[in-house]
Amino acid sequence: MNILVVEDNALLAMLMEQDLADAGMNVVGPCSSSNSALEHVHAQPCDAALIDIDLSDGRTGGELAKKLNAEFEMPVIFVTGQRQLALEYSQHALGILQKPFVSEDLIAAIEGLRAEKAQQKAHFPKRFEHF
Amino acid sequence: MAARSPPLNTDPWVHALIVGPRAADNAILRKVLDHQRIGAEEVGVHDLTPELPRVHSSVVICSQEGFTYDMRHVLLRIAEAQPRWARLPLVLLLDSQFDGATVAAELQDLMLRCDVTIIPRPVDRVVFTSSVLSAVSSRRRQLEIRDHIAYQVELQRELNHRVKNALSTFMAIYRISRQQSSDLEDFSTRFMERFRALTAVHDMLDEAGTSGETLRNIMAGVVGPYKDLETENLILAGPSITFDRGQAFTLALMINELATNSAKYGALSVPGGVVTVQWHLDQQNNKQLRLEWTEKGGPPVKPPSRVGYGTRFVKISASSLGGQCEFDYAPSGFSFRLTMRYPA
Repeated sequence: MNILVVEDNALLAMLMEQDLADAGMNVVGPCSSSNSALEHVHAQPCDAALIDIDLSDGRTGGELAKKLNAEFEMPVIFVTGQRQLALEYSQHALGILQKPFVSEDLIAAIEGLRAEKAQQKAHFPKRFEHF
Repeated sequence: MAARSPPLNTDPWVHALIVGPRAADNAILRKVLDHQRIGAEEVGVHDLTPELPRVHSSVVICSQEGFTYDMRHVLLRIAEAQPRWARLPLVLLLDSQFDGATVAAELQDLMLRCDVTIIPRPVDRVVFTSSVLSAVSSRRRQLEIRDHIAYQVELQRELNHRVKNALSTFMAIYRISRQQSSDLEDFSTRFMERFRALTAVHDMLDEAGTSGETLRNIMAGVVGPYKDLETENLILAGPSITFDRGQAFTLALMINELATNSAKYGALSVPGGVVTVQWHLDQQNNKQLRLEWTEKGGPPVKPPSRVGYGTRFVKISASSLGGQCEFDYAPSGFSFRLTMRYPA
């Protein structure tokens, strides 16, 4: 499963990359800006995206989700502390994983997304808010 | 005596809504409002609803003719729909013999919910001017409170966001330090070094306010503890350039990795070792910032056998700043180059 990671905090990006790789997933990125995310997506198809709202090119995460959802039918999970801003884009994402979170939450959120995509019963972690 | 006070400035903007004035009153009203540069419009009972957005930034001036049963009802509804920070300023122009039990009761209701000023007719220009000015400034003060509340809400949201970011970052440095460490003491050292670098930048940003922090200060804050005044083991050289909060934290953690690594294995680990950090802006070449960290006089350098956390972190940091970096493990001394767009 190819997961696009869009997070501008280098430490978090690195840990997310590590957690996803440990769970057997392939990380595309991590990208720190929406522009760089779009470049990556054009070069490599992704099955899902984890997107922060605040990125190095501004609060562009919401618009990125909208675009990825519309143009690539890519399911999106917001991974952010900016709940209010994420809610404005709720129709373009599956839900929001609130920061701070632990690795288990991240993997459980992706597993939930995968199950839901396969129309199976999905379980999401506590810090995940389903839209 | 004509009102000589200077026209009120118009920020926040307050508007007068005028209901049912007689021709004679209207002339005075217009003159006074014009003179004070207060925007005004005549409205009927059907124009006034609590949903009308400008009602919350207006004062209502109503004459006896306009003060009908319907209008009193509408004014009460508006008064009740006012936001918590507001009370509708209402200036009533009433005949002196105006009374009647029902109206008096309704007036009392209005007085409980609005800031009511009653001016007896015929209207005296001075009384009217002072009443309108006081109504307008009371409304303006309310709007300032509204803006202040909005600002506080925004501050609260921003603070929450920063706290969440800080918690996430601490959780991340905890995890990375734990994974790298062989024992508790090792963990404690690694964690505290990173914690210290973050705290140093936070203190600097706190003092710098919103303008961001200069690269020199970020450098000095992070590598300062390794500085030996006698041997001049640290040389910082470059023009004054600033980074915003997020970038400053990323840079600080990145430099911290280089510094702690040098203090363990590189030039900062021995007397006589020197680290030079130089940066310059290439104005021609698309505003590129080039930063070089060069170590001399340390123990002979061996390239690492595997890519460690430090290296990975520095690479991801560089890309999150919109740049690239290179590591050079020459035997005579380690060096590092960061190239990024500036402003990022």
